[in-house]
Amino acid sequence: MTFIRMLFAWLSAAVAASIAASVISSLFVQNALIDVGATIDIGSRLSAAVRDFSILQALIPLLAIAFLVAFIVAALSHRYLGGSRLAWFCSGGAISFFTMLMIMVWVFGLMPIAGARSLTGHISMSLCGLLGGWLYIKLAPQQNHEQR
Amino acid sequence: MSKDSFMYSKYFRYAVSLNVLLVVLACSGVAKSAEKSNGSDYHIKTIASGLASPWAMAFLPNKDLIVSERAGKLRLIRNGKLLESEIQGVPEVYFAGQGGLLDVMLDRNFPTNNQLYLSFAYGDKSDNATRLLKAKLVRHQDTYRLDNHQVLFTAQPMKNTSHHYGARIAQMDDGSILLTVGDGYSYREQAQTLDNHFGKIIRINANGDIPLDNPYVGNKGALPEIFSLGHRNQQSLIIHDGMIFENEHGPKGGDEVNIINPGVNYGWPIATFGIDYNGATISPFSEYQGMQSPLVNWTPSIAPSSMTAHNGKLYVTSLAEGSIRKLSYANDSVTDEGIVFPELSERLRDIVSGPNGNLVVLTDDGKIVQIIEQ
Repeated sequence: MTFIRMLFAWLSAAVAASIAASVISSLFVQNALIDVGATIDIGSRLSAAVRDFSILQALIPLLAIAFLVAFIVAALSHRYLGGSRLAWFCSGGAISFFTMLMIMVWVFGLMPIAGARSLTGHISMSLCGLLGGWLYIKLAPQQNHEQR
Repeated sequence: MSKDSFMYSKYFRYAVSLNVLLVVLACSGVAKSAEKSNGSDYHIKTIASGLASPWAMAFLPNKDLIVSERAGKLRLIRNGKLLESEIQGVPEVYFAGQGGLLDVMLDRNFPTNNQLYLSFAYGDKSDNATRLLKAKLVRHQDTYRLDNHQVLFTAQPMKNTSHHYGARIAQMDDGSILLTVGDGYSYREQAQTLDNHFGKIIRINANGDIPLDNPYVGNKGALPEIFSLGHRNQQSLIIHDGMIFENEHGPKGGDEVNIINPGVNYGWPIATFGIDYNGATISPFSEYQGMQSPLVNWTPSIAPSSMTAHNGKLYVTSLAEGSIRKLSYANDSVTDEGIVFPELSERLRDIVSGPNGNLVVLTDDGKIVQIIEQ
């Protein structure tokens, strides 16, 4: 049962962070068009943001892998170094998201997610990893050794 | 009639002869012409092979064929043979991603001035750009050499991606030079602003000066070389029938053919029929007020790579579709479009109308083929 809850928490974290990142990416892309003169009404903005959820099919699996590594490291760090479990997992989520985006740039030679092309966009999307870490802590079972 | 008597009857012999005739006609039809419905026969002949990442070609008046290789080589094909020795004096290029040595074009007065133009990626990984250079082609041993290099233009600002250079060259009737500059992939919104060269077609004189009748000369904050804006990654630019035809890659969908006019905004990335490669929206708009819609929109993408005018039609090669499309047009609109020469089904990079009146096609894997129409 514990494993199932951990699995559920991990996947939920990846899904929630990906959805948040998709919305942020949409906002950055739309704002960039507005900055060069486009007028986009709220209805068009919302419908475009919904269409942008199509990136989730790629983003969720990648982020799930990133979170798997990050959460294992966070759990071990908390176990052996102590400190706030929430802080370890939130920072782990953000750092893993940031790193995943950097790896994309390295692999493709450019940033394939348009909303993360600027440093501000890159950091904003990475901060969605905080949400992932927070959600994991809320949903995953508390380990005895982690309650000290 | 018994079975044996039928076998030796004249009717049987007629039937066999007719069948043989039909089979022969059918086979020859398949082999010689896949465009029989258009009433024109042709055959395809490979002229040369063995080129590495070729991008563009240009025939000299003596029928020697110059081919650019992205790694930074100009190769020469003479009498159907790819010469071992390269053309000397090619400038150093930034060869990475989609960059390298790209277009080559002879000056319209080449027979008297021996001038040619090269476009290429210039710089390094963190700072690179599309550059246009003029040089003189002179005889050198059994090939040629480039002398008197003159850099005519370097796109600004520099970029840190190795994608979307554009880099096609054309020369207008007044001798001025047009050059396409791509949006650099990561800089797409800058195709809409006039303070940079991303996503633009620029026009300069053959000596590098700026023509005074360029549309944004004198506009504060606008770069005076800009001729048109709102482009993505232009892969072809030709002048035919007094019109400038251009094609460009959209992202996922939204490949375009445009008729270029000075000062016109062609929409990218505010107006596009394409979406991002990951499925995300580029823009909510496929059309936008004040922006020119394309003459042709290919969605899904075919990845057009070059274009030539031949016998009054436009022929467009493609990479993704691996085809040649023939376009008929009248009054600024396309009246007919279809795939021709379907035997050529591979990534096609460049097409020119050769000196013998035949189409000559450069394939992405390094072959040059001639389409001989009879």
